[in-house]
Parts: sequence; structure tokens; C-alpha cells
Amino acid sequence: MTETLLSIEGLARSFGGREVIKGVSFQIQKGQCAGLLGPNGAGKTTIFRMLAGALAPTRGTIRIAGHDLREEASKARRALGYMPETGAVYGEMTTLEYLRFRAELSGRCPGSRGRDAAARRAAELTHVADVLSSPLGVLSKGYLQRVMLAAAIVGDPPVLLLDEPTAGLDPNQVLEVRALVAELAQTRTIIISTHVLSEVEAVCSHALILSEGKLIASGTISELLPLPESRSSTWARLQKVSSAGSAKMGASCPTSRATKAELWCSRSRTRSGARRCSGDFWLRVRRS
Amino acid sequence: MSGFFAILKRELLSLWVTPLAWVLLTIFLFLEGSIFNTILLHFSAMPSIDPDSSPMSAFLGQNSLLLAITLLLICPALSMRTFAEEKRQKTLDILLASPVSAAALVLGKYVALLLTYCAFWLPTLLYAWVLRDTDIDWAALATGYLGIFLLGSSSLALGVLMSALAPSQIVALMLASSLEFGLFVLGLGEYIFDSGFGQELGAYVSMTNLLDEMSRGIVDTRRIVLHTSLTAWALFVCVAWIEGQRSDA
Repeated sequence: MTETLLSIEGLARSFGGREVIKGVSFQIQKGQCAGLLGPNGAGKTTIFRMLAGALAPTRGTIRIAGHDLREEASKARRALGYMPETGAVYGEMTTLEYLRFRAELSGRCPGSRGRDAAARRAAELTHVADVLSSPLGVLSKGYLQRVMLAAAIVGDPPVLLLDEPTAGLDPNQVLEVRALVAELAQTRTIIISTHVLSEVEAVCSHALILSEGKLIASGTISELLPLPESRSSTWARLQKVSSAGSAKMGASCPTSRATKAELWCSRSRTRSGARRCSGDFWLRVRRS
Repeated sequence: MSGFFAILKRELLSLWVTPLAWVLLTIFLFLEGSIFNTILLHFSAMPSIDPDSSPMSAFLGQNSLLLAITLLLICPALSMRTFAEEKRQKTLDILLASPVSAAALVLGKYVALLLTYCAFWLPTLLYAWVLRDTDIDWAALATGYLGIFLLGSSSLALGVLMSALAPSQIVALMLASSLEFGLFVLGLGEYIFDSGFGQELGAYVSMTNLLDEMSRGIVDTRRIVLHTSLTAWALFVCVAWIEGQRSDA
């Protein structure tokens, strides 16, 4: 029987009376790597902040490794490794100091030696061992992303939350970080937030498609993104669609095959070259 | 209190690795050194010395207007970045997402500030050493430093709270300084009102009275209760704010 490590039920969040997350529910099983996909402003970071316990939901429940985030906050947080968006580091600390600090905060690495060993192990895994004595403030963006990844995995938490792990990186660094995440995904349950379709294709087994605060589709990558190599464009009906209204995603992004893909969701719309798809959500994946 | 020492160590590092603490320490010691020098010149020019007064008690309390003003600047400047900087750097989410209690988070940061504040005052013990051959009332010296500690502890706690509530360091500095200045002015009510509630309230909250009495060896428990309560209240509200970020909708 598969174990559910992350479970969200009816999650909602309002800011100033405006509901930005509207009853999102999903589950991630042990060993799965899921991509939370959506355009900027879809609510990915808000969901991530709620999952990390840094922002309270207006309603709904979050369970991490079987622990309710509200009822057993400490145990739930202990099971979680969180990588926030780029730049959220203390520039004055060295890499080793920062990783030791995160190890101590995590509560999973008892003793000074334990913390030191965990910090060095995480640095080895993420290939930042050569900058252990460098202040974070002077590191390149690529190194910084990897240090943040190392900080998320320090102490070996079973669930990882990675918020836009390749944001702002150059193509080579993107490939490096993706390879790293794919490596980590072999032994951990990971959820990645991104607006880059190819990122989900490259490292995730599952995708959760978010638009305007609603989860409009979820499923395996092959179910959701069926674009054969031979075709430049395709429309695919989303298999597991919620009852959300019309949604436009319009995210253009570089893919791992150095082509362009466009993600576009439509309901009851006619587009040139596409069939009328009344009543369903359709995803258009196009290379250019 | 898991995570308390991690927060404490990080906060001390961030205070002392960056120039902030060193710049403030330099300004502080320059001001305090100047005040002490003026006091020594004043005492050396006096034909006879009042038995109730000594250079150290004058330094710790009887020039308390200058001292209070110094504290009004130093404490808000030390505490302004506590949470405001975490918000600016977006690192607060990392702390909120960690299994560290709100109390450990706030106390870790606060104790680091308090230790830094004590470190600021540590070099001034040399002044007592310089005057070791004179008739120093060591008990009064100890209570004088206790007064300084009480005033600093409540000022820093209010500063930490303002840093949590303010959107930026500069706003935190302005809010904390205004609050401190308000309390300072409230204390002047003692001299404004001849009698009655206003006069009593002013005398009770007066920073200058606290320092003056403590430097003479007079320990008024009401003042200890006031500053301890103010500290506890500010830290409690700060903990509630952190809890609110995590659990309140």
C-alpha cells in the first residue's frame, strides 16, 4: 500500500477579503515527484508558504508525513525540507555556517558533530563542497540555488518543497539543478513549484496544474502532457479536471530540448487550428 | 525551546559580522567616554565633593538626561533589523517553516541583542578600574549597572516588537525611537505637574529617575516591576505575532 506523505484538503487563503487560493486538494504519495505548474500569480508560492507552515490557510487541512500542520506543527515541520524562492539567504554567513544553522533549526541533527556531518553530506550531494567557506553573499546564483537546495535536504527530511528551484538561472545552471533534483527525487518525495512546463517534464512524475488559485488538473506527466517528438503542436484533453471555470495559462518557456513550448488551457473556446472543446479543459503544448 | 541557541548564535553572528554593531559601539563608547571625561573634569575642579556623589554614580545616573538620550538612539538602532531585515531578505519564511517555537525564535533574537547591549557597557567597567583608588561604593555601582540593564532590556524588547510590526528597518527605528521618546517625555511629567496623578505617573515611569536612584544604590522594586513587565509584554506580543503568522487566518 502506498503511503501518503503530503495531503491537502480544501486549502483556501484570502488576502484582504479576496480569495486567492480556492479550495485546493491533492495528495502526494511516497517517492513521487510532483510539479505544481501554473503561470505567475496562479498561487503557487502562496500554496508553498502554507505547506511550509509560514502562512496560515484561511481554511483547509495540511498533513505532512501523517501529521496535521495545525495540530502537530512541530512534527509536521520536522518532516519537511523547504527551499524558498531565490535570494532568501543570510549573505553574511558562509555556506558551512548556513548549512549547520539549518541543520540545527531542522531539529533532525542532534549534537554539534551530527550537524556538521549533515551539513557536509548535504553539501557533497548538491556539489557545493568547494564553497563551504565562502560567504553566501558572494556566491553566483547557480551556487546559491544549490546551497538553498542543500539547506532543504540537510537532515534528510522525507518531504521536500522546492519553490522555483531554477528561477533566474542560465541554461547550463538550469540543467545542473534539474539533474540534482532528479537525483534527489529517487529517494525523496518532492513537490516543485514552477511556471516552466519543461521543468515538470524533465524531473517530475506527476503534475498539478494551477490556475487563478484553483487546481484545474492533476495526473501523471504522460496523461497531461502528451506531445510526441514528431509534432510541433498538440491539444490534449486534461484527464482529471476539476470543475473550475475558464483558465488561461499562457506560460512560454524553454524546454530541455531547446525548443519552445506553450501551455494554454481553455474551456468552451474555439481557437484557430483547434477543435471546439466545449465542456472540457484542453491543454495546448506547442513547440516553436 | 529547541532552536533557541541556533537563533541566538545566528543573531550574534549577524550583529557582529556586519558593521552595524561596530559602528554603534564606536559611537556609543565615544559618547560615553566624552561624558565620563567631562564628569572627571567637573569633579577635579570641585573644592569639596558631596558624599552622596561620585564620578561613577554621576556617570551611571546623575547625568541621566544624556545617558537616556544615548539609550534612545542605541537600543532602537540595535533592534531595528531583528525581524524587519528577515522580512526584507525573505528569510523569515525559513524560520517560520522550521520546527522552532515562536518563543524560542523571539527569545533567541532578544537575548542576542541583550548580550550585545551588555557587551557595549562592558568597556565602561574600565572607568571604575581607573578610579579604583578612590572611595567607590561598589554596591551603588552594581545597582547603577542594574538600572542601565533594566532600561536597556525594556528598550530592546520594545525595539524587537516594533521591528516585527514594521515593514522596514527604518520604520522600525522610527517607531521604536518615538515610543522610547514618548516614555521619556512621559517621565518629564514629574516636573511639569505640581502634584496629582500626572506627577505620580511621571515620577513612576521616569527613565532619569530610574538611573538616578539606581546609581545612588536606591533600589525601588516598583521600577524593576515596571521595566520587567514592559519587557515581558513586548516579547509576549512579539511571540503572538509570530504565532499569528503561522496559525491565524
